[in-house]
Amino acid sequence: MLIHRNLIVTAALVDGARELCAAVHPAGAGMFTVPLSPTGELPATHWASTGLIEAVWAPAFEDPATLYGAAQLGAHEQGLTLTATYADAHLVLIEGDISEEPWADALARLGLQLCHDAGPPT
Amino acid sequence: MGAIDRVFRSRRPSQERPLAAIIAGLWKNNEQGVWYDSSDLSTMYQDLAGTTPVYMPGQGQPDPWIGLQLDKRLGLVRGQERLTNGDFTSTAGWVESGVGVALSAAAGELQITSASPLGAYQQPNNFVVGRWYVVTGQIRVGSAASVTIRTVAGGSSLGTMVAESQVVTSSAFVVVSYIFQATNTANAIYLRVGTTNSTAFFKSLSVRELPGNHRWQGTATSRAVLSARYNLLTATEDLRTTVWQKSNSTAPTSSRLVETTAASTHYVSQPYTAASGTPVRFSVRAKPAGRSWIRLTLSLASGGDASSYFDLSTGSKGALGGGSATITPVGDGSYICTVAGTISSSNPSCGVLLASDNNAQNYTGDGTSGVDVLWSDLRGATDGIGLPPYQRVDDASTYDTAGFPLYRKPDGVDDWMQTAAVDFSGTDKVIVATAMRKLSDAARAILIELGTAAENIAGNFAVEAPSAGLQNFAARGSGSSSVNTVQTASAIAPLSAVLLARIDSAAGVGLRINGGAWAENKTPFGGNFVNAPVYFDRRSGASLPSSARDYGTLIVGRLLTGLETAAVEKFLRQKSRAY
Repeated sequence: MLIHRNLIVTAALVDGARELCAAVHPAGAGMFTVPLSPTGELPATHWASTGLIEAVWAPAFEDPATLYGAAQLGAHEQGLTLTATYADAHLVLIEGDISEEPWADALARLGLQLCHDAGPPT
Repeated sequence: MGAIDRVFRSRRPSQERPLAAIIAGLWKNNEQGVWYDSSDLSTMYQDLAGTTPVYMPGQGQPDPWIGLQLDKRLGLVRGQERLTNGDFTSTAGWVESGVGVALSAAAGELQITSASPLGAYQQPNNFVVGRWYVVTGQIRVGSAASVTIRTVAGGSSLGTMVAESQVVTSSAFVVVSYIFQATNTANAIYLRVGTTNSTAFFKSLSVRELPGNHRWQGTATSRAVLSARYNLLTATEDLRTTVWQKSNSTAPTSSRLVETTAASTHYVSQPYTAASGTPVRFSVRAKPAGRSWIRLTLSLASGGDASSYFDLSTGSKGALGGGSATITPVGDGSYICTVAGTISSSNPSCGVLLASDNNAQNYTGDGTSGVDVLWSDLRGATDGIGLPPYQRVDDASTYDTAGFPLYRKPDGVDDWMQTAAVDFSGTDKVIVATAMRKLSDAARAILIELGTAAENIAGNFAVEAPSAGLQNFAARGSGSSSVNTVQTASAIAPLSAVLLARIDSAAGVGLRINGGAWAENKTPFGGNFVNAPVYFDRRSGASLPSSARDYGTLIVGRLLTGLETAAVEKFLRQKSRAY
């Protein structure tokens, strides 16, 4: 079963969030690559992922102990070294914003915009 | 076959060859390229390891995500066997992965007894980094709780997991398979017993290359989904649900709309998501049930944008409030009433209003009269040519798919896919063709890009929708002497299109929409293309995201003949119904 989630963390927490999600499952690697800021200008104040996750992962995004435990187990299964701590997991879930609403609604509620990089001059 | 048939066949011109055969032959001389077909469920998997096929959307589950999409251009013909003794006539070739592991082979089965969650492995040392391999076999538990097959990095410690089969807990043999992309020539195939002091069994193991430039997305939240949704409404056959908001009306049955006794307007409405400026059409199938006049409106706000009265007793149109309208008899006394126009509200809500006469929607109801609204459908006015006029949608997960082309649907935020490096260094000419629907002109977006930046890295090419000028399409080739870009004339989203780009460093860049006239920039830009990954929907997976639907995409490392070009465009048109 697939469910929709928006996951948004502050720039200060993004390294820990990326490591924890990558440890939970290989499909968690590569998350939080969308830069956000209140003005839409870089540098990003927040980083986000939005899309489907397997429903079985949902508890990991609701409880720090579950997230950290899943990350520890997943890291072991994948042969990874986990440097993020329980405190990181706690901060990601307490200070991060995890929601089920449409992506645009989440951005509007938080007062954030996509940081648009138009690319080099064409 | 009779003589006449033989004569006919011998005289049949080449352009009458079956379309699929022409497409399959585009790479017959080993040209580089890709062929992805969003309507071919057998080529798409939900996970990167290819253990879970995508399912047909609309059948009661959320639209499935796509973690791996196979390249069809080489026919998905598997290569030679890579394993030694995968049929287990003996234990030869298999190595215990730790202390306390014992192997025995009998009758084509391998039994592994393990004191801990370990097993046996084999390193064929014949993998090519970046290429894809499919692992198949049968496995079952003995006394173990679970058993699996993995590909691991290899080396003395076996290393990290690359991919894994389904985890099996059955005591009867289960056929498993998975696909992995080699990360090391010495990747190991690892037969893993899941629990301590237990046994598991393996047979008929095979590892073969699956040639092709397959594309993937390993990150769950960055996977696009497969969809066939066209009707933007839900509960399309049930007015009783709360998504239909009632005003001075009730819905005693799924289709019956009944007025109250209020002296006011009497209607049901449903909000939908579409950007302001989007042309849409709203249809209902309706018949009288005490009232014979209705008014359809695209939007209750903004003055209605487009609306029309319809007389369900005579099958005629009444007063038109903007846009256009049609009414078509269906039989059984019902009519399909349609109003079309461009919405100006950012939060539109379509409505079905009861009326006492033409242009008379405000009246005192009798509490019993109304109409039957058998179904309702609201979609982009140009969204697919010749599609069925109605798509049943119960909810976002449950809808009709028959007759509605499947498409890959990136979210325009963080969804994207990529291939491993594709070696285009042997050519200076490519054709890029895709059937797509551009949904937004708000920001520049990458559809397809070889390399990381086609505007400033030599040997890269790209197709953008839109380009920096917005409200257009663009193709670009970057060479040793210059960058050559061509932009189409105005092409405003939402817009379905078959795009065909001809990118030739010796003759410039051309791009055409739906088989029309070429937009061209004939300035040569010099040099061959590079050996690099091809990215889809997002530049290098990091910026310029696209939300465009993808019905199918082909890249061919050469120029096409006129007949081939026409065949490609016809093939993609059939896939997408773009025009």
